[in-house]
Amino acid sequence: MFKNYLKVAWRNIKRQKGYSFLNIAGLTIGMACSFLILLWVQHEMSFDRFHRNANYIYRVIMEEAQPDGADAHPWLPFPLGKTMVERYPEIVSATRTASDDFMVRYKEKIHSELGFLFVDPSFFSIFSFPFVQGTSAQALNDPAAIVITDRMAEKYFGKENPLGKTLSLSNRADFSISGVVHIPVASDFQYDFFLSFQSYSRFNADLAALEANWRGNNYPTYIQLAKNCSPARLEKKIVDLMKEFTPDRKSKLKLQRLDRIHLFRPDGTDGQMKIVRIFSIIAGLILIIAAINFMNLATARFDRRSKEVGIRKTLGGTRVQIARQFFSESLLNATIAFLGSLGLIKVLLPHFRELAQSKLNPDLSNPALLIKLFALTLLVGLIAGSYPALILTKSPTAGAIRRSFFRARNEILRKGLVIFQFAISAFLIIGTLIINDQINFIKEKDMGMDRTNLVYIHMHGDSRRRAEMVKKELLNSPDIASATTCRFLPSQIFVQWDGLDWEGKPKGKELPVAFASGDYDYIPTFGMKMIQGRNFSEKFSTDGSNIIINEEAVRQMGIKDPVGKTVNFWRQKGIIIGIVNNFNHRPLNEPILPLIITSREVGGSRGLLVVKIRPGKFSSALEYFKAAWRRVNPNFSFEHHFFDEDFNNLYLKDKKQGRIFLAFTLIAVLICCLGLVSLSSFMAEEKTKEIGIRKILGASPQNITTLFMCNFFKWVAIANAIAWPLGYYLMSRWLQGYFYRTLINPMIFALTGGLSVLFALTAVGFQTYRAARANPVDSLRYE
Amino acid sequence: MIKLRDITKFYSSGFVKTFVLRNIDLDVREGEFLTVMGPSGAGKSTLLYIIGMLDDASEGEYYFYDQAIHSLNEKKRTQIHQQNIGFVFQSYHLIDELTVYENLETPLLYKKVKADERKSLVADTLDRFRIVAKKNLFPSQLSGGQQQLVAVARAVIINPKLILADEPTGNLNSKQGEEIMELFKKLNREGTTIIQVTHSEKNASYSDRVIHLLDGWMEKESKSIAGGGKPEAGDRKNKSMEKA
Ligand SMILES: Nc1ncnc2c1ncn2[C@@H]1O[C@H](COP(=O)(O)OP(=O)(O)O)[C@@H](O)[C@H]1O
Ligand SMILES: [Mg+2]
Repeated sequence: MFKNYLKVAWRNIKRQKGYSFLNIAGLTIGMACSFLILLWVQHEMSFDRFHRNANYIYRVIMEEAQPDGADAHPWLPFPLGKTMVERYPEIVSATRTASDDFMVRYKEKIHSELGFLFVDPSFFSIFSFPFVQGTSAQALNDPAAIVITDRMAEKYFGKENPLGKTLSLSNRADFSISGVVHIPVASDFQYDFFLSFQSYSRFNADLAALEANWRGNNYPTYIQLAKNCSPARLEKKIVDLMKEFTPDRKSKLKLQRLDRIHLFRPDGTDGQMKIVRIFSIIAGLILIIAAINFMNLATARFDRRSKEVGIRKTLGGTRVQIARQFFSESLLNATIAFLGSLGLIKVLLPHFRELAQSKLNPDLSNPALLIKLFALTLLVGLIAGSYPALILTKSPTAGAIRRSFFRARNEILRKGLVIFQFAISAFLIIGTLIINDQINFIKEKDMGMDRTNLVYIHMHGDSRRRAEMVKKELLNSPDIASATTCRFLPSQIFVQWDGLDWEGKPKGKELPVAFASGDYDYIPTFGMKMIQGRNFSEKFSTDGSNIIINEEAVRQMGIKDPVGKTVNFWRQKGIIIGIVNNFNHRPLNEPILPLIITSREVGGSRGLLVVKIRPGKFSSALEYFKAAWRRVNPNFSFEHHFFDEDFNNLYLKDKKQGRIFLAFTLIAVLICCLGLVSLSSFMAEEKTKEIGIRKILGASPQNITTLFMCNFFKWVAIANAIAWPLGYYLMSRWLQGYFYRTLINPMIFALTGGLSVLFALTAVGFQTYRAARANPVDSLRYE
Repeated sequence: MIKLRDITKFYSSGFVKTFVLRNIDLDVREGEFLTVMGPSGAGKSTLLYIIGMLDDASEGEYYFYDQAIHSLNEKKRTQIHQQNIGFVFQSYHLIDELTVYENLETPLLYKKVKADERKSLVADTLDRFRIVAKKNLFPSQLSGGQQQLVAVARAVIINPKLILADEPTGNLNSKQGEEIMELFKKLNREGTTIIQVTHSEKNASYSDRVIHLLDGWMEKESKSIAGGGKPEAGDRKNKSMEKA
């Protein structure tokens, strides 16, 4: 019997090649895209779950009370991890972490590397990163040991065996390689070099002082719990631990499980999870659109098939038997589409990786994965086949044989489905346009500084101390306008919550403050503007301790005539000598906050050397920059970056999302159109007799085309009426994630309407026109 | 074999009830060859579908071999139908996607006949109807007469007790029509009960008994010669003239 079902199904596919092609192609594209997204979603959900202890590893989160609610973050005091292990027996071990950057040298190879992670030796026993060489247990017991990734082993040693080789870090300390580790793609620990905190002393840091410092919140800390311990109970015990050490601060401790770190923010709200959710929904929508095509075409063939059902019933077929036949047909179609989609995924994967900037690399020959995807396929096939299978077989046979009285009901459903598809497409178009607007808005927003023609390098080790010498050399070049050293790029200055004091500060009021540390040329180099007062200058010997604040600081601190007033920060006094404009010192999803620029080197040295190049002089200036650097620092690497590029990278994620959204919108629209093409050809076929009669009555092909198109336009109009408010509402919510956001342009909706009409016209027009042109006598005789 | 009591069929749309069959009482004996006549729209096909268990009567009772069909569920009814009834239609109603062989095979598949038995049954039937050469052709490759021949073969293949034929010769020329009617006569002689709908007096003359439907009412019955002996052509003609 089953063979018979398949035979008929296969013949039906072959008999109507065009129809089958459109139908299966639509489903293939739809499945390939939604499978790709689902694979990506699965990848995102799998981050750091491969560790043996994944279920017992937690990140400790600090929640600091702030005037506008609590601020949850993973930055903890150094001694905390150790203290927790000592205090609570249910914590098996802990590791603190701190990222860093150094210049790495092996023989003649010198590179500036950003991916350093200082950890406690327990790191590699808590996390189970696979070791390619060496063993994880003892890898970092020696303070002079370093573990590198297989990638770095390849980069520095090629075919040589890296074990035991010595790397020099920023010409300050040498380390011997004790292991080579592989960091899987699905891990958030994308570092290349791992060192023990014990080695801090080798960089002249005072480890003992650090172990006693409860005020520097700098070290993400991970703990591993005993298998039988309840994290909730432990959380209760540790919540007020910080009171003991910093009673003046209202900070609480919480736990965040390892598998939640990639997807959720420290406060437990959606981070990446938001995108995962959005994309899962898009995957679902695309699959639905494709499945609807499938159903729609099946119902379009309803009349034909209902007769067949009738005949089969007269031959003694039971409802179940006939329904099975329809399901097999639909499953066969879905299976062909499934095989096609696997091929298509292979083709699309590199593009998707590029588009999503993801390292997603699914193993499509993995049976477990294939089974999952195939199960989904069968589900789609079952759902798509259910309408004809259930409705058709239920209809009374007599009616079915008489070419069915169900046309009306059938048409309403078909209309509803097409409208639904169009509404989804229109919604996706609206979404794409608004995301695009927002990205452009950010790109063009006046940031309060000049990002162009700025090149910078990271300075390592004692080369920092020679920055002034380099600067002097640089200014000799006519191609270089200015140069400055600073701690952070002015687009990414962190905000802190404490340490600011001024005369007349209301009691208990704390302000978030961004501290920018740069030399006297900081403001002119970045093209910021002085609103009041003056910039730092060599003419004033006290400028080393004076400060400049931004307009927002003036506003929030509420000082009248700020210039000349004294401010205390980090237990030092500074006199305000000027007010700088409000430049955006954080990504645009965050507001501008009070900011203090100090030329004093606070809490360490400035590691960035930024150079402003005169327009059009790029290559000669860069050449000069490099030569000057090398003259002063022959043993240090020179790797330049562009400020503008970095800035754009900040918004890469948005751009990425925008591009993915665009790509999938196009695909959804394409699938919709495929469906419309075949649906309209069916409708034209169905209406040949009506068309014939109208023509005999004197209608021109244009009259008839218009008549039939009007129908489709009505559907498009209804779909837009649904999509517009929905799109407006959902996209407004999306924009809420940005502090600086574009207004939703009403033209977007008009454009969406126009595009929908255009798509419908393209898809439907040709078929209808062809039908309208046909010889009426043929069509009537045909009936 | 068939006993209809007070069978009424109506379709309701809104407040309007359209009666298609009204208070039909009909008995059909096993082995009988019955003709249903009447103008278009009289309800002939509807009556046939009800007898064939493809449609429900709105009111009334239907007994098939003493089984009360009107009170059976769909599954039960399909079972009885599968075992006992074959259909033949004016427009053949072969399945376009299937070959002659597969069309013949389909009712056996639904009846869950075993593969080897199925094969031999189909082979026998192809043989009997002399269509072996056509077995791999699709319906569209056959003439109307051939298609109807296949349709009859398909109706016969399950060895039904009852054949229901709705204007089986309506689309055929007179020679083809005659062949089909001869075939029915032969089947009837072999014991199959046949109920046919036809507009043709000539076809009606093959049957034992003719009933007339008009606007859903069953008119007076006209008995043809009882006992199934061969009637004289003239006699029959006269009788139908009277009615007309
Ligand atoms: N599903 C239906 N709904 C409404 N009316 C129907 C339906 N099926 C048949 N009819 C009507 O029932 C009447 C009898 O139909 P039918 O039995 O096919 O007549 P005949 O076969 O004698 O020409 C016709 O008037 C037809 O329009
Ligand atoms: Mg009829």
